[in-house]
Amino acid sequence: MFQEKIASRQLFNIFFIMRTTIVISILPVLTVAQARQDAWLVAIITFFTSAVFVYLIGRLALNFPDKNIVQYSRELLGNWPGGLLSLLFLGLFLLMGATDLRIYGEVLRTIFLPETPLVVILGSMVIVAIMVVYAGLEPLGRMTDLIFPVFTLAVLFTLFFPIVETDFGNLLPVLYGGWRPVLFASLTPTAIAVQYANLAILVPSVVEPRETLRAALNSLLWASIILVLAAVIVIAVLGADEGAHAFFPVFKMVRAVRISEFLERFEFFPTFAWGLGLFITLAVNLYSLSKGLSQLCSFKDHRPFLLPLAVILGTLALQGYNDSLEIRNFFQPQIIAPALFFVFLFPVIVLWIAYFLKRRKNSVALPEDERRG
Amino acid sequence: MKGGGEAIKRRGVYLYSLVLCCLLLSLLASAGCWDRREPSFLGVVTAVAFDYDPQTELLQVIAEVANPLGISAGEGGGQNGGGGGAEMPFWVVETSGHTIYEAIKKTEQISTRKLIWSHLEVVLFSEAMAKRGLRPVLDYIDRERQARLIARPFVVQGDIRKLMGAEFPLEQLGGTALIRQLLTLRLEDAVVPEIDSLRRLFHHLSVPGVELLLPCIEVEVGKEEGGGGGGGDEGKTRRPGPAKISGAALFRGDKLAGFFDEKETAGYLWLTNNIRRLTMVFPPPGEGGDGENKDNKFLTVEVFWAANKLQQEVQGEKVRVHLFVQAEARLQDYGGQDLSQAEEFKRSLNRRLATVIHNQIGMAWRKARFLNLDVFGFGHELYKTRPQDWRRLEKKWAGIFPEIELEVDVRTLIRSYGLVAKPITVR
Repeated sequence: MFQEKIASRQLFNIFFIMRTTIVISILPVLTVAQARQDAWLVAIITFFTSAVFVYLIGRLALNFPDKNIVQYSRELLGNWPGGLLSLLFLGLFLLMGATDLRIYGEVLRTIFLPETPLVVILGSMVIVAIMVVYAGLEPLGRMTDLIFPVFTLAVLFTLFFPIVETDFGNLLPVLYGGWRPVLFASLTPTAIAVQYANLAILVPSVVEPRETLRAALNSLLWASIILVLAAVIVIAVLGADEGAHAFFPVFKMVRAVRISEFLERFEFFPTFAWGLGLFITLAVNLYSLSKGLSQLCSFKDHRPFLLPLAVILGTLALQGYNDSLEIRNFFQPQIIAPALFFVFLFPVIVLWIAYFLKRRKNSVALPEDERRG
Repeated sequence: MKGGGEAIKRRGVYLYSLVLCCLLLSLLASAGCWDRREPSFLGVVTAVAFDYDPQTELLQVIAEVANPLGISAGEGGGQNGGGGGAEMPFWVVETSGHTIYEAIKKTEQISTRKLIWSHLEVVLFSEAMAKRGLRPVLDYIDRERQARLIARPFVVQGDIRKLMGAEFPLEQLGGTALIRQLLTLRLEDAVVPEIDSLRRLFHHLSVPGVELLLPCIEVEVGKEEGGGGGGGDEGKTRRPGPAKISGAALFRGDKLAGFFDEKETAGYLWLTNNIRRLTMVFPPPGEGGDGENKDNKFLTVEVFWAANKLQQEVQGEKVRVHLFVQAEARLQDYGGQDLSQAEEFKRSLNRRLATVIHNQIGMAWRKARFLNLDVFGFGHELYKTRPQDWRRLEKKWAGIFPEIELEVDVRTLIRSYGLVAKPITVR
């Protein structure tokens, strides 16, 4: 069967864009807990904790370089238990896609299009995502090549223009509330790193599977650098309190800055980056979801699942949250962390255990398989 | 397999046809706004004033809406826009309500256009509003999607309605005029505090250990009526500017608690390292002695560079603040008989300048201490640099602040004496 392939560079683009999109939307390091001016410290810690997640899922996937999670969980656990376990991951793709889509809808509805029905905003984004996923993974990969420079430039402009209004004294004092709020706040961005669960579906499609883990970790590193920068600049411009109260702190910062008497209102940069980033995020989650489900149902092609899944995803985005306060509530560490850690870590740990047990059992055959892969 | 591929290809063609149709349909929308929110149906608010009526207990919103007809007439007819029977370049609309949003929505009952607030440049608070507390207004501005935190806040002393209805001599719109006036003033002199945007206002209100202060506008309209400014064209060309921007309004939390005059504001700016330029007038050395200046001779010095350093010492609950101020200035005019080139004379001149700066700082410090308002942010500095001390003192800060020992050390240097060494000799 024809297997679509993407380069590891494109994998880097995908995850960098996905992670950074969340950064410029809700800036979770600042908004979810009481870390206040230490949000940049949260961003640094989050890199290391998220890297553990990426390693866990990436390394597991590399043990089966030509199979995705549905296939290898069935191989490790048997047909039914493996299938059920991989359903948790598919649920994760659905939830992440729907939540990201709804955040995008909320920002457009709150700031730009207050009277446009949400279904129109969400629907138009879903249609574009369907189109690219329908075209396949390769066009999606090439799309990221095209979007990556524009996205990165837009993010950099968003963060560097406000520098004229920064007061880095706002970052003081460091650790006024101690380590506790900092560590607590790092739970949410770490939980958001479950975005890297998409690796479990994408690894077999990467031309150089061995490069996958490095590309994923690199994307995490660069996205974390952006996260640290965003946290520092938002706090330096708005102050920790004003930033933390906002639903969309980066947006609020951009709207509150006058670069000079004739240069202001440059929020099209984050809007642009956000729209492009969400398009990629949604498309990748939709691809993983449809690909995984097609494997589960033993279909050769993922396309027949695309439309119904997109409808389900769109409906979940629309009905899953009543308002922006509910979304903000979902991102509170005490809610998002247990939920996502369970859905992500439970299957991954079970699969790792099954992998080790199986390797011990077939101590001769399996390492050879590994080397060949 | 081949059949399946063709089916996919066919479906792709259908999909592209569908997209093409959608794109063509979207062209229909390019003829204008789908909900008829054309620019000609909108009124752009450039300045807004918030007032409070204690009798009715209602919040009042007074908005200045740009009038495109008046603006174009003004541009066509030179700078004397709004004169005679011509259209005014703006329209002032006033409504009231229990909440700010209610008052704003009521403007639609009396306005032919929907007001948009995204080009708001100036936000004015009357004294009554400031005394009642800014919180209701600030919450609305922070929550509203149209208003931006780049707008500039002021507290108005005097009749805010007269200011909103006033014509500014060289400008068409009050909002633009006040901004230009503030920008010019901030570049040229130090008589208003540095808090020049709602963003800074919000920041000042939310951080610990500092109280808010805002620039003040004194309403000058109506003052000239008693003085007889003359009528006709002469009266028009000689009319004074309707607003004088100077001084600062001091807040306890979000409520107005007092004012700084020009000199006290300059003192505040010295203390907070925000002096850009400042003009100072004092008697020349040797003229009339240190006491009284019998001949009424003065010199003007303009400070063009200043920097300060603040050091805090904490012993138990006692806080001592050392302020080192450095300033460089140039002599702008000299009213004395003779400008000596002796070193002692120059030292004396510098000492006098330092004394004036010292006095300004003292005035600001005494007023803030009297009102018990830490507008200088001594507490905030402690919070940033000595968090452990601040944690201990935060609750008692209201009692500690007036007892702070402030030591001021000013060093000045007059660097330039202009194009002539000595004043003109009149025979």
